Amino acid sequence: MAETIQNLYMGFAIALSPGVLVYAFLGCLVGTLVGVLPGVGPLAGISLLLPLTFGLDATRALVMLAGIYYGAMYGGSTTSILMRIPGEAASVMTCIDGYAMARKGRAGPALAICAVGSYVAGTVSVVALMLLAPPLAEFALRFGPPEYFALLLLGLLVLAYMSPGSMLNGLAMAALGLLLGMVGIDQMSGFLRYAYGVPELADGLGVVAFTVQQSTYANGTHAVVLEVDPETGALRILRWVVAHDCGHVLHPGLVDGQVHGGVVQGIPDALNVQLAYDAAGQRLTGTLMEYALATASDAPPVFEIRHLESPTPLNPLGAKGAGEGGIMPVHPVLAQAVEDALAPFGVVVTRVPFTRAELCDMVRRARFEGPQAL
Amino acid sequence: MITSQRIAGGVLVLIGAVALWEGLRFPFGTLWRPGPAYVPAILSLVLIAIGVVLIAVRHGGTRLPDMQWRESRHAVAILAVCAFIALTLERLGWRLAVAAALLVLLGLLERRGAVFTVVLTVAIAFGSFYLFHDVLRVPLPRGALGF
Repeated sequence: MAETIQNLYMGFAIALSPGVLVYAFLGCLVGTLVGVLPGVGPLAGISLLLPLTFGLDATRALVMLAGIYYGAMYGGSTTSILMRIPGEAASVMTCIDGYAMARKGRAGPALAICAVGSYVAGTVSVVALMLLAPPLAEFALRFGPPEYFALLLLGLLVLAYMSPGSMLNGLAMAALGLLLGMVGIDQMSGFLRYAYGVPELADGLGVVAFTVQQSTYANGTHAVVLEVDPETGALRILRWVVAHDCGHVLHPGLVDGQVHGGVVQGIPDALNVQLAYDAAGQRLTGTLMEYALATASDAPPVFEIRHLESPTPLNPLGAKGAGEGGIMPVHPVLAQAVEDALAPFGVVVTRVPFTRAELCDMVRRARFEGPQAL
Repeated sequence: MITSQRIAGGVLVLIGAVALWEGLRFPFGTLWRPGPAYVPAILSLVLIAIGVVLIAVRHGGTRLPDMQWRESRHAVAILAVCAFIALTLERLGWRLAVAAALLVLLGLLERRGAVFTVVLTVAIAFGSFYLFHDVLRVPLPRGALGF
């Protein structure tokens, strides 16, 4: 407790210094302006306004971000009161009393009550959170999947019960909302659900994902020509072509080496079981004698790289990452090339790694039993 | 008798059926190891069940002939403009797409004056591009014409 109070004292000492207060004021002002926009909540507001803090030191930047957050929270209530359009989810309840007061010509007092109420509640809740955070965190750590599921179920039931009108309508809206939440990558299995080939939907229907693109992505496309011996499963790579875009290439030799290294590391991963265990659970690839570490002999004999430079506007160098584009396409392109090479036998490759023995076995079985999927 | 409640029920059944059909393309899994289709399928079935109940219940909701939606023209126009922006934003670029949408909304739908419409359209389309793209460094689409 004494430590918490001491930290609070230190925090106020820093936050109340004039230089920091100016940035807090600016953050609140800009955050309020952004928060007034319907659909742009505190999180989206912070994401949009993040570049404003790039030139600041950490303390001022954090204070300004906090100001933007609280300003955006308050800004959302302005449209709730004046137009009955909540700026963000937390302002929905403000529509009820605030808009009614505005209709009676008391919009000013409604906005003032909202501001004072937000200030008092926000300050008290922050202090209370600082005091109660340690025991709350200890309690929350006891939560496991059953507790979280029960909590979610309770939330949905309360939502359905508290919704105005029919409880059935509330349940229907809750189910529809959850169904919309299914759009995107399933966190457990990695399947892309209800995206219909739209990459932007991979992150779901979140507002921030649609409105903010602060990250930059490198691109890499690979093509490979190879031969597979159907009798032995032996695989010989003849030519490897990479079209790579990491923005502005600062050092071509380094980027080439990065792509080479990515491909050479990816090939053994696709063709060998790296972590193999026997029936007794004994690890079979415990040393570098068995573990298929990439060597120079794994490098394709013909290696071509084409650099496409589309500089990102998000940093002064226009550079993107150069690591992922080299290694990530290796597995699927190898699987597709092997499937193409063994197409006359009807072998379909659906996973990596695939060993020579497995390929050989697939070809043999395909000859007698028809098309086979690995 | 067709009521708003029954129409809503029908829409829920339709959404649930489509979501179920699409969701079952993925592995369903088991209770112990639920697959990616497990929760969507349950939610779809819940939606279908609620929709059927809403259709079956005889009372509640407004009768179709009594339903009035005075803002329907505005709503349809705004939805059409949203669809236009979604389809053309990447091709035309932010400034052209937003300008075209604002011209339609302000000039044709709201019947504002020509000067007001043009000034506000240019200010918002180009001003927002400058604010987000140049000041806040949020990349916005430029389109084939560079706008």
